[in-house]
Amino acid sequence: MNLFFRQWRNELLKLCARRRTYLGLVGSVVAELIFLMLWRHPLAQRAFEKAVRGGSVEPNIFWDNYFHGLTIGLLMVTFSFLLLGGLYLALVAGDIIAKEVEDGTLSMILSRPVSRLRLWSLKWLTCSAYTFGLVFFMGLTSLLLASVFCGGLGKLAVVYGQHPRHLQLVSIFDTAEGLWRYGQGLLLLGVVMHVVSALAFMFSCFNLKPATAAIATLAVFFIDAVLKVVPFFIVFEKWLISYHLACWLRSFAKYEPAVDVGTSVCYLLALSGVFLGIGAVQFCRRDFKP
Amino acid sequence: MITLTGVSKQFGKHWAVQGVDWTVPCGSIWGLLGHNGAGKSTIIGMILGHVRPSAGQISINGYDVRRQRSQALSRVGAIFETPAFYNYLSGLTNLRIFCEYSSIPSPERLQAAIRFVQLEDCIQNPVATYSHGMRQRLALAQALLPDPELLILDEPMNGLDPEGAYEMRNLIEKLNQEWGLTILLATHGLHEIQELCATVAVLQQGQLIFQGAWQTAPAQTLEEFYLETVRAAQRPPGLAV
Repeated sequence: MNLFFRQWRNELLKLCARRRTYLGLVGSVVAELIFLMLWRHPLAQRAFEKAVRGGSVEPNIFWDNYFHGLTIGLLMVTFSFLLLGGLYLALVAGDIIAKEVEDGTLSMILSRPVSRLRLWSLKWLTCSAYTFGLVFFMGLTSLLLASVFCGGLGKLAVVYGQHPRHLQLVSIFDTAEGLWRYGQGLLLLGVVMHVVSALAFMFSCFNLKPATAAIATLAVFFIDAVLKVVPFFIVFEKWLISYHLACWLRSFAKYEPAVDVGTSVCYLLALSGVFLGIGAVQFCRRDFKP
Repeated sequence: MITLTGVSKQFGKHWAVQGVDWTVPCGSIWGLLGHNGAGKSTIIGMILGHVRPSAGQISINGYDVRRQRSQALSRVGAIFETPAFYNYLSGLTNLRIFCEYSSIPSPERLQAAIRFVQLEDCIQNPVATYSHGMRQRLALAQALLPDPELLILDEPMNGLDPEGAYEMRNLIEKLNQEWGLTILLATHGLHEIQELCATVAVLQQGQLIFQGAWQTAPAQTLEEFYLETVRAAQRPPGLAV
């Protein structure tokens, strides 16, 4: 077991020593700063006020109590993950095996008496650690930046809608519960985003270039997201990955039945399991031509 | 040490290797000769378990490479034509990473391997700063770390300058004579094999056309032997010279 953890530590070292790994972290901070800049524009704030109107809180009270770190931080995480999170996960997970095959380092590793399944497990654990790492990094930097620029933590108001045009205020929490919910939300986001990593990782196990694995992953999610906004396909909504991915935001709703969130999490985990299974079989059976 | 029995490999419709029966005994240096695309790298890939044979069986020290991979490869080191490392990490970290896929190396063993390939001065530098010759020596160090009995070298002199090739030849000779390692050297360079190997296996279009001691007459060069062997294999069966 000691050797396994050493090997995993080495995989993490390889990941952390590459500049590309930090691209996601730097990119997410840039996206958060852009969000904050755009947020300061009166038009954006008016649109947000419109979304809040009709909720249980008067806009002026909302502005005083909720327009602070927690609420803006949550919006920033949603925005930056929608924009970049999937992309970075696809890049890193799609790269993790395919790049080693391309560089030839995998042939050197496979000349060692290490089983392919063990190697596959090490690589997947590394992807999983990166997924949680990216989510928590984005979550914490969003909260920090929003708190600094928007006057402290404040209370948490959650605005959600399956479609960007149908946003509404779904729940409000005081600071302590808001922080707790924020942490839980990030944890759930980390869990559900594994479906992106698992798909990219599966492609990485095939005989594909690293960029192809990342593009194939993004293509799947792009098609899925497009299907979600086409009104004729609303009947298929509950089969779509993007619908279930939003369960981390739905989990903030006070009266959302837990079974709905649970179903989405199970659906995504099952899907991830299928992707991982296919990837493992492919990795263990394929030829690595010298 | 290595036994191949009826080994074949098909990629799509193309047979890269066909019905190879070959035995490499302990303590020898064997050359694996053949033109580009003859199947040398595929055979090495199958011996190391990178490529699954379409038919046949490969064993190292009696352990089947597919079914008992860990035991079969436990005392095997390998070097490829273009040694691949993590360029952004130091030579030492690379050695540690590769070695720890099988076992944790002792600091003494690490130092001995680094000393043997004469990389003490630059082992802390990133591999990106290494020349091709230094990378080959680093590859040799990583191959020596698991204390191998068998060393598999796939085109190890390619891209080396004459001085580097000479050094590499000396190292290979030393590893066989002083350390007692069995060495399998795959190359299409006749010069290295003539210098190092008394026994060769010759591949042509995926088929093993010769195995054994190549020098049948005292003055015969490897080039003469190789051309004669290849021409004999190309002649229609039954046609006398």
